[in-house]
Amino acid sequence: MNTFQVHIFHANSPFYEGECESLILPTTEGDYGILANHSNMIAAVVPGTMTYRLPGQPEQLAAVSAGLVKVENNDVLVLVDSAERPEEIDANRAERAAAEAKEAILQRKTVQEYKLAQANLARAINRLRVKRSFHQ
Amino acid sequence: MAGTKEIKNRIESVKDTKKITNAMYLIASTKLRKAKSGLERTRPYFEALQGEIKRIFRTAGDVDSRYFYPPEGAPPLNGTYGCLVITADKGLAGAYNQNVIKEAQRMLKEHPDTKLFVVGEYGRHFFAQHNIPIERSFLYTAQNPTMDRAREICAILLDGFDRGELEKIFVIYTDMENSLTSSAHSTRLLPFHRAHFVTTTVEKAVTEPFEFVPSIEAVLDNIMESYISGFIYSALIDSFCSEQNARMTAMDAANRNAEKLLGELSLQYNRVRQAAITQEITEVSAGAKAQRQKNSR
Repeated sequence: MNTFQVHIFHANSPFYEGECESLILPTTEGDYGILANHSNMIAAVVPGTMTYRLPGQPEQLAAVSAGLVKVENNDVLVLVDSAERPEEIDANRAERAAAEAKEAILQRKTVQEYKLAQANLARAINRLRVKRSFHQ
Repeated sequence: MAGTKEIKNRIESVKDTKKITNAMYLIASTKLRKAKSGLERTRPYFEALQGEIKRIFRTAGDVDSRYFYPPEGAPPLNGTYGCLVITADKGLAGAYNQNVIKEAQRMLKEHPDTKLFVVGEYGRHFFAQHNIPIERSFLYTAQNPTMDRAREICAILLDGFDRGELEKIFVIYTDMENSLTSSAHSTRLLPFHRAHFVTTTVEKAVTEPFEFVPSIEAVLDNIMESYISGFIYSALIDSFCSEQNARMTAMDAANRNAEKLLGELSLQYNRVRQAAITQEITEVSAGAKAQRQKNSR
């Protein structure tokens, strides 16, 4: 299978750089798959599950948050706030964060706090989803 | 001249102080190492992000977004400014905090209608003491910069910007240029200047146009938030690095001063002691001589 170069960066450190066979990212328009020789494009990434397959390895998952993806001449650049492998996710912490966020939403504070809580909840639930699918 | 006891006390107290400054030096140097590695790791992300926004902007120069500075000829923005001031939680870091605060005061003088958002205990304390109102202060973030904190700050600033309460947003932070020099900067975060993105021409030229999914505006809106939180995050880390560096330098100087002081004091102590001994011997021998003269008579 044809491969392409991928660079995945998140805010704290580079996540992965190297060859990749297939990459599926959550975008504003739904999941977006990228294979080798994809046409040039830029899309907005939303929090969700990223699926990637490296040469000679099974498909792997990662929880990503907002950012962008750029395809340019068979070179893919993914820039996201955070990207976490399932084994790095602490399920208990994510559950706690989800519970906290739900509580904050119920408390009906200011609009801005509400938005922040909603974003936190989306991130936490997304983490949990990735973690659970990893165990099955 | 002071007596031996006083000098000895003084030496002890200088030694104790030196122990503290030395410990602080060591702590600052380990923290600096940690912060520096954090800075190295976040750099690739941030540089790539900045480069991409620049390029998107170039492919579509006529894109109209509220995040961009109004084009030439439009009325200048003179509303309320928002200013994020990043200080340390503690003092004893040389001129680090003073430089940041001086920059903030300069800004307040130029544009009095500025709302301050302060990171760090020191800055909060300073502005409270000088009766300068603070819009909001973020406690305990200077010590441990995390992406979550940066996101929180970004959400608050962006919210003000989106509602039109803040016309411009500035960040005052300390940039560590290299391991020796660092300086306080004020940078405008929002709105972006068109020229700011277009002028530098180091990146690769766009050979083929990009297809934007779903549209340029949607992509820009989506990444703007990450860009700003990323910028705030790296500013926090950069400031933290500079703080530790400033503290390290200050403590190193304090150590050296203590060393010098100890040298001078021990010299003084030895002199005083010697003088006392000499005097005692003189007295004893004078007494003995007097006795001898009395006996021989």
